[in-house]
Amino acid sequence: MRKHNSSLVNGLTRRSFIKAAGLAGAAAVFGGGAPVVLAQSRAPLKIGALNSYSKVFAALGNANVNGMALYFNSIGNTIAGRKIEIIREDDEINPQVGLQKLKKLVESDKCDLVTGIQASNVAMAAVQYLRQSRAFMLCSGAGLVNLAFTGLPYFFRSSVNTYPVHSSMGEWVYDNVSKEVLISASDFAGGRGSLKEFKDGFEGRGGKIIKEIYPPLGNNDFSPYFADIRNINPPSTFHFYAGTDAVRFVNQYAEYGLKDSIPITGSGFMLDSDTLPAQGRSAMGIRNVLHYADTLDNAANQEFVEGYRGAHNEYPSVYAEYGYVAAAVIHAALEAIDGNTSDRDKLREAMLAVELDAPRGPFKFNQKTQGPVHNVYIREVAEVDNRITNKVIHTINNVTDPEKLPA
Amino acid sequence: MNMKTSGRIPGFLALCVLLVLAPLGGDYLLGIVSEILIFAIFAMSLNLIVGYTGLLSFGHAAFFGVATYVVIGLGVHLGISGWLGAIAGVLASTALAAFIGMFCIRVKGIPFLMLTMAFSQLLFATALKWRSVTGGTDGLIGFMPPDFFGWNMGSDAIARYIVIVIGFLSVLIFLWYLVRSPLGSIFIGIRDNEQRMRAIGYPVQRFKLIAFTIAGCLAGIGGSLYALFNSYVSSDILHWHLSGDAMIMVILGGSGTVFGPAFGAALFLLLKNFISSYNEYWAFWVGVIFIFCVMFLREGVWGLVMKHFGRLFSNKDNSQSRNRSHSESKRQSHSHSHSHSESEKRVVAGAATGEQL
Amino acid sequence: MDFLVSQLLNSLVFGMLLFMMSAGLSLIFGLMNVVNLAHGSFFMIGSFTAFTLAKWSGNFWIALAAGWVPAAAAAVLMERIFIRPLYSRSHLDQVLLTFGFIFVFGDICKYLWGPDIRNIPPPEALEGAIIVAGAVLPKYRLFLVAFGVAVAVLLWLFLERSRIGAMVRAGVDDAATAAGIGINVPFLFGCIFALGAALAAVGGIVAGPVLGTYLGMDIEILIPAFIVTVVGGMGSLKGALVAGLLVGAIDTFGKAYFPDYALFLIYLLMVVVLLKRPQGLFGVVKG
Repeated sequence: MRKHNSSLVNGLTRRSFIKAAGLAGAAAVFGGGAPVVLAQSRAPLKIGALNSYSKVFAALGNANVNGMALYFNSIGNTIAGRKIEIIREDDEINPQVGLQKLKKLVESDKCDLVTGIQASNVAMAAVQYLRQSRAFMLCSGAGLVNLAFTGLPYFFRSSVNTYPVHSSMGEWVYDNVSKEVLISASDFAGGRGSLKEFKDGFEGRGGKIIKEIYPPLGNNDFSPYFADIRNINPPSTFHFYAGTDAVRFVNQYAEYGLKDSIPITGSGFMLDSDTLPAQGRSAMGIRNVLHYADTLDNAANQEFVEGYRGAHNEYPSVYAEYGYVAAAVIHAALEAIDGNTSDRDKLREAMLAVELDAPRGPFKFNQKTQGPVHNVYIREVAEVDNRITNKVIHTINNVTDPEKLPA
Repeated sequence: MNMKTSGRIPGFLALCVLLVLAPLGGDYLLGIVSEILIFAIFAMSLNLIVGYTGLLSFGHAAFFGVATYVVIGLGVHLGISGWLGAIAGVLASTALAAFIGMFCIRVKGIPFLMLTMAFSQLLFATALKWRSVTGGTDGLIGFMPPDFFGWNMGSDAIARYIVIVIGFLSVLIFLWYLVRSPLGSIFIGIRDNEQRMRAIGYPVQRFKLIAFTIAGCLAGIGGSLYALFNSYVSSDILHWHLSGDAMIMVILGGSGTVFGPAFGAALFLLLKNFISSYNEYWAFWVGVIFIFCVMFLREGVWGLVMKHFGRLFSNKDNSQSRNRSHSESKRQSHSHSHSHSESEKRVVAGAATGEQL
Repeated sequence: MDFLVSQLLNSLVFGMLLFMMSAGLSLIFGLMNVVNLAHGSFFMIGSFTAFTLAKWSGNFWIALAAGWVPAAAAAVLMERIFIRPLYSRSHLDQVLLTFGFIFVFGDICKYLWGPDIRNIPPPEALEGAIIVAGAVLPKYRLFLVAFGVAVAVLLWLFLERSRIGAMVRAGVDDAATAAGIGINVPFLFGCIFALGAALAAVGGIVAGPVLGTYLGMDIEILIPAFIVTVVGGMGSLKGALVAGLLVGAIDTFGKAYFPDYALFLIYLLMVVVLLKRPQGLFGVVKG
């Protein structure tokens, strides 16, 4: 059967196409190939990094692993004589995919422990699996409050619980900004959840929520909502947006002159190193809350920021800090038990006992919920050393998970 | 036709052997194979309208996703068992396909493509906004899969796998007989020369609708199985992106055969999983391979395999078999309509114009 | 009252943005009969290129003037090497081909620029807003409206009043005859494809300060662009403009007054137009 002559005229035949693609393919695939595991006297320490490395959360997943790798590199990639091997798997922000990859990490790759999971829906699905499999997980991502109450002995969270973070902000806004507020967030679980956390703190102090607005996730144009806000003219506003929505919202809020007339506050996730470069001056002066700021003045943070800048030529985001702290926790816990991961209960005890100076400040685990105990910072976007970032204007110490799951 | 049948049976047996051996590879491998089989159903169902009836649809995800939503939704909101939910899901998809099909077949070509995409996006927008029922982008959690002869499909990967295999083989065998039946040859006739079919007296619109509906029903089977496999659904499943993925599977495998898209589904998912373990740019490579297939390998990878190895199985008349495989991939090559019109017995041949949509 | 005025301007601006995004797509289909699913990719490439140019030069106008070049170049290559051999094949194959390029271009952008969100800063002269009758009108958005109108006028002049435009229209009406009288149809088609891509890229550049520049924007604008071109009529510039404003209005007012139904209404509009008037509001019925 004769094939298309016209392609011969153009010079691109099937054969040349295959050759070109094949060469390029071989170079690309094996150029950036899988990490090499050196032969060691002890079995390598396999750490699974289950994150989203594609789609909207790609930057988060990559930052997370970068932070972890940075710490491990600084200790020579070895703990108690065991070489560290990080195995990345992409959950594609899809719970079922995440579950499959988790199973692969635990059952097929035989990871000693699994870290990561930025997406809350994947995290919830993972918890179900962990219940059955009793695998060891150190969550270095998802901040939803439910994860503090899983009751699983081998589930730790070193990242954050957004509940006390946002509710502290609610209280602070009531005390320092205004007694009434208009709030908005993207219409998804993360957005609605964050606003509810803020409301608990704000209304708990006696504050009044004037209106709640939920633009759709991925919204392009916030101008209809801004017209609404200007009409209502609240004394202040609080918002939660992530990713591209955060960039657009903050930029457009300034573009429409709202920033000068109506005080704006928000969640720190909306104004962190992953979005600030794109937000630029539009973000200046916005007060927000987070458990970390890259301008924190402590030794651990200086080492972390300098190291990250050296390795990646940019400032670390909070997601990188998650990974860095997780790695530090793993280091501390495993050193205490001489790298022996076969006894989960011993590992658990060692982890519960971990106390360290993290980039975010002092860190230890809540003995009941196995979540973090750390500082929460009220920050303000400002220009520091020719760079737009957050400076800390108020510190709240020893913040941790609430006693029980809030209603 | 007989010699093709005899060629198929060793192939079919080989497939069955592979399917039986899969559980030995462990739960993770089984999960991948299960996912491949589900998407194979989806892709094969799409090919019924794309490859065999000549209608290019970019909205097929609608019928897959609606079934998934029905199963999960009924289970989560009303506590209805997954089995009943699955039946409801397939019925819903079939009805939806008939309804949407009625409108879509009124146009042809590019407008048909856009219309199918538009209807599918309409459903997507509904799922996105109707949070109380669908959970929006967050989706519905808490679905409890049913039991299969005493094994719970939620906890037992093999139970899930067996159900999916049964579904897959049923759809495969059904389609295989369908395209060789009188009804199937009508579809092929419509694909090859709609005007001529109409001139002969066939109610072409009615048959297009039948093809569209059957395809929707089969996609619904895939969607229901996906619900039982996943125990989760979110609005992503109705996005045209999924329809695009199915199209890729059809083209990679080849639209000229029933099994081709199934092979394409395996190829696509394996490539995705394999490449992404080493390299985060798997989309680039899938795109390259896809473009290659569209330009040079229109019969798809499976079509290529069949062309070279299919002859091994047919012991009778080699030239006849070559003509048969030509006719299956005929629509892709514009300049050869004259060379094998003599082999078109059941299928209405004639000058195939460029406008195959 | 000023709420209404604000929303009116918002819809005008968004409509112009949609027009810019769709003009290229409509042109390519109307004049070449090719549905370019990779249209969004040119939009994205333009935006990223402009981001880099703006960063190097510190000047938005330089980025606007030159940022569309790589996209146009990619289009020329794409048309020459991949699409041209397929002109004699069915539209199905052409559509599929462009679909494959979405993946290829997407990962190339990811490779060159990484996964982070970027932003093209608007020029300093256009920062801030003016207040008219109590309504806040950001200067950059006003510029967008003016720019969109300028582009529309230039395109119209090109197609209706220039010799090249006449050749293009001739080539589309009847390629064989056009070739017969000496018009180099393949070359012309290549130019049109590049022009369509350049338009998309320019759209991406001017939209950048408003929408941001990030991976995934190619897929995100594809559907709105398709809706506008379908409703307006493939190949009709006037249609792209009118439909862009229409869809912009529905989207804006929908979000303000019927937030739960806005998206649904837009798709419904697309369905209704396709069924009742497949050639769109201003399109021409093709033989």
